[in-house]
Amino acid sequence: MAGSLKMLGVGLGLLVLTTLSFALSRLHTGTLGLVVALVIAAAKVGLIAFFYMHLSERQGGPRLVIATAFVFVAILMGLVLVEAGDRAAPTMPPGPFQPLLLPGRSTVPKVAPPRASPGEGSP
Amino acid sequence: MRPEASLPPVVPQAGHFGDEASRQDAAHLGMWIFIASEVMLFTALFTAYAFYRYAYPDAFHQGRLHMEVGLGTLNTYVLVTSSILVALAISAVRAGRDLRAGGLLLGALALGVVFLFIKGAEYTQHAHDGALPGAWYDFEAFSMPGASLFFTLYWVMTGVHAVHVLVGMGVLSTLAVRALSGHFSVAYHTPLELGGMYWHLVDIVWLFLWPLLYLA
Repeated sequence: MAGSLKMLGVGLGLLVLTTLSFALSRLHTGTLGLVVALVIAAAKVGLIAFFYMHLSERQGGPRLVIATAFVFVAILMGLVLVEAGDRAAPTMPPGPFQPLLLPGRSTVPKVAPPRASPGEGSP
Repeated sequence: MRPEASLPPVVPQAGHFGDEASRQDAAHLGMWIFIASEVMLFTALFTAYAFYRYAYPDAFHQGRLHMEVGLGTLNTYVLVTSSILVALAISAVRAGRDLRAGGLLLGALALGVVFLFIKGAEYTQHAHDGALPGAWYDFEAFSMPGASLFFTLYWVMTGVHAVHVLVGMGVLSTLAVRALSGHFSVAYHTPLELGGMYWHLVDIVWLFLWPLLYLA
């Protein structure tokens, strides 16, 4: 019975956080809103992993495995974003394109884009 | 080769573990390694999302205006509630109430069906709009650079997630049948714990998809 009450309490927390996330999203706060929504999602994941997925009862191995997984997530996502932030804008793949002229839809024969005239500015 | 020689050397209960506690430890560790590999699968998709959101911030910010935010939010409540039911089912088995556990698992399964129905309604609407993935994108109302990438990632991410929901529903139905036929007890319910963890993983993935695709 005590176990059920604890699970219900955690569940109530999850539902409250979900409602909070939805309510905050109505404020349209841009980038800050995205960060806040992700922080709330992370809090919910913490509750689920710790109480519903039994991490609270399992020390050692399982905690190490999932912590390592999240370090790998941070490395992959972090390096990709750092690299993207260091690029010159025109090298961003693959757009822009018009909605009716997407790759594979075009029926006109492909031609090479016109080259910029050599000369001034080039080393 | 004689037919009996090809029989796998599997015993129903691995006897080399000595006691049930170390058996459970090994089972949980194995499940967490599997979950870590699932996290990596979804990380590849979330990384693609992060990269294209960085490249096309306006399109990805406006994408939510073309989403069914009400249905997506309803689906979040549906999945969170089904996770709560699974957690309560484990508490019920630990209290020796198998029938109650089976009923709770069937409830979680029904919510999985509801989730897929709502998702199907959304998919139908997007297909009607022409907001299809990749080269099939043909949505006039949202035709800025990066818009097709938003919807391509939407279809791939929610599609891979929906496949996980389907698998999870299979797991839940098996567990419900086993719980109702009295296979689990206070001392032994490891399959229920591990299957429940898979369903919670499905929930966790959606908890990140929802704010990224519908809210912010």
